[in-house]
Amino acid sequence: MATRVLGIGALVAVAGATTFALVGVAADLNQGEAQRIMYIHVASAWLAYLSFGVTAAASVWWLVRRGPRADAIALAGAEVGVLFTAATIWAGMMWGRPVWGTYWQWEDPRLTTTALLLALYVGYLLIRRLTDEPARRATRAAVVGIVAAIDIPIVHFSVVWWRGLHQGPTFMSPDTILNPPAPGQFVAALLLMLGAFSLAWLWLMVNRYRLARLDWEAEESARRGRLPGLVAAVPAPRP
Amino acid sequence: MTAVARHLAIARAIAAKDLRAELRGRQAVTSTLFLAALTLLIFGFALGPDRASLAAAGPGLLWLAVILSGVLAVGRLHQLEMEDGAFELLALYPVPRAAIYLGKAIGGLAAMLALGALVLPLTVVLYALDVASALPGLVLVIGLGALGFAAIGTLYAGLTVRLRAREVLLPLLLLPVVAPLLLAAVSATASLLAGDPLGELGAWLQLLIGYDMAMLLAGGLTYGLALEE
Amino acid sequence: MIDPATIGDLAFVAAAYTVILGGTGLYALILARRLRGARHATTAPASDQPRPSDPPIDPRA
Repeated sequence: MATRVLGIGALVAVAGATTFALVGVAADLNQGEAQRIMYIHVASAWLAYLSFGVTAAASVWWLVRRGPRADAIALAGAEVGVLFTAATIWAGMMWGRPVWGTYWQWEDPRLTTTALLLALYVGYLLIRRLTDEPARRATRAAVVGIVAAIDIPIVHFSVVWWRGLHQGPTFMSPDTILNPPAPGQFVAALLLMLGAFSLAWLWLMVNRYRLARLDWEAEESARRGRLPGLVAAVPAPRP
Repeated sequence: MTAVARHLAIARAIAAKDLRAELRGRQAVTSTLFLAALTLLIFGFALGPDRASLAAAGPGLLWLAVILSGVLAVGRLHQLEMEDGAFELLALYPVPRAAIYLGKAIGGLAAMLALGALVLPLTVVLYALDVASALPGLVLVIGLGALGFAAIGTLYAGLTVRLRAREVLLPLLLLPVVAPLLLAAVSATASLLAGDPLGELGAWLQLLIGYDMAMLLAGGLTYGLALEE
Repeated sequence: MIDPATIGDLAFVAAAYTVILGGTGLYALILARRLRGARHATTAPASDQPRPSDPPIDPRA
């Protein structure tokens, strides 16, 4: 019941924040209308990073305690994170087209880092899909999740240096070219979008978590039914 | 015998066993090396005959050839064992997991160094790279790059070796993770060949060393979990 | 509030929003459906037992 209220609230909040971002706020003086994409871009990026942080923490938790809850949280984080990462990249490209004149800006460290992030966690979801046994799948996925979390800061540094050390054509970063006519409105729109997306994120996480738990139980009981001899040899994960 | 010496002795035995098995079944080594050479040749066709643009792309192509063939090489080292059913036995040995990982990674490092030793002179011939003055630096960069790739490649090869789709999954998992390694190694190679005009070589070497240490640590800590399934 | 000169730019922005919100909404719908299916599968009784909704077995048949 509470989830239903959360879902409806998220729906209303996202609709409100989108309306405000599209027609409520004044257009940016330098970038014009394109700047409106920044609201959804920043909100998606924040939640993508949050999701992967959740996955990393839950992966460590699984390896230490082996609870099915940890695995379900890790999966929810990765899948929702991939969704929001894809949204971040899409918004970044659609913003870059009118402002930078190109969809893909290789010199922007954030865009390239985010693309690698997407690839890392699509791999995470793939290795999950290709492993049949739940506990084994959770362990493999946890290792991949931890390696990805270690890799992210290295990727970020390398891409930032790549641009910085190469002295290529320096494109202005979004921070320096924003020029909102009413900074208060700009911040309000950003916070509103962030809040609305956080509600949606929470709803998605909770429901993906629940689905993962149900799937785990269904798999376990199916295994117990079909392979009674093998179950005794595999130690059951501690609840 | 101290704990460290014991770890190293076990690791050496495993690496020696892997390499002996690889060298006896010679066709795998030959075909991986051949693939690396072929990759370099094919890149040349893709980029066209312009000498200047080929030389400019040289460092990137060198590392792409090493990494693409390297995926096969590190996968092989586990696959051989898996096919013989020896992987299960390896997991049953009462030795520290980190030592098994280290042995496997040393085997992978040897394979990657062999790839580097082939690809570097080939790039010199095919892409007219002038390496004479930068050779010691290049050897260092190839060594660091090979170590980092072997460190993470061994972990992921062990993780995927039991999967039916491992041939597809291993590159899909490995390539995004080695992206910073590729970036740092290519940049270091390019700046070495150009005589380090921007003074950026040190930064890239530091990044390579940091990457190698992070991945060795991750592998040492988690490889045993992949083994003990 | 909407400037007719920039209506094309605004449409571009709206298209960018639509894809993200539509994609997220689609994911949420599929998720809700799968969740309903999974709940049904775990609570449903085994197929060889009569379900409450099944018609009562007629002893005269």
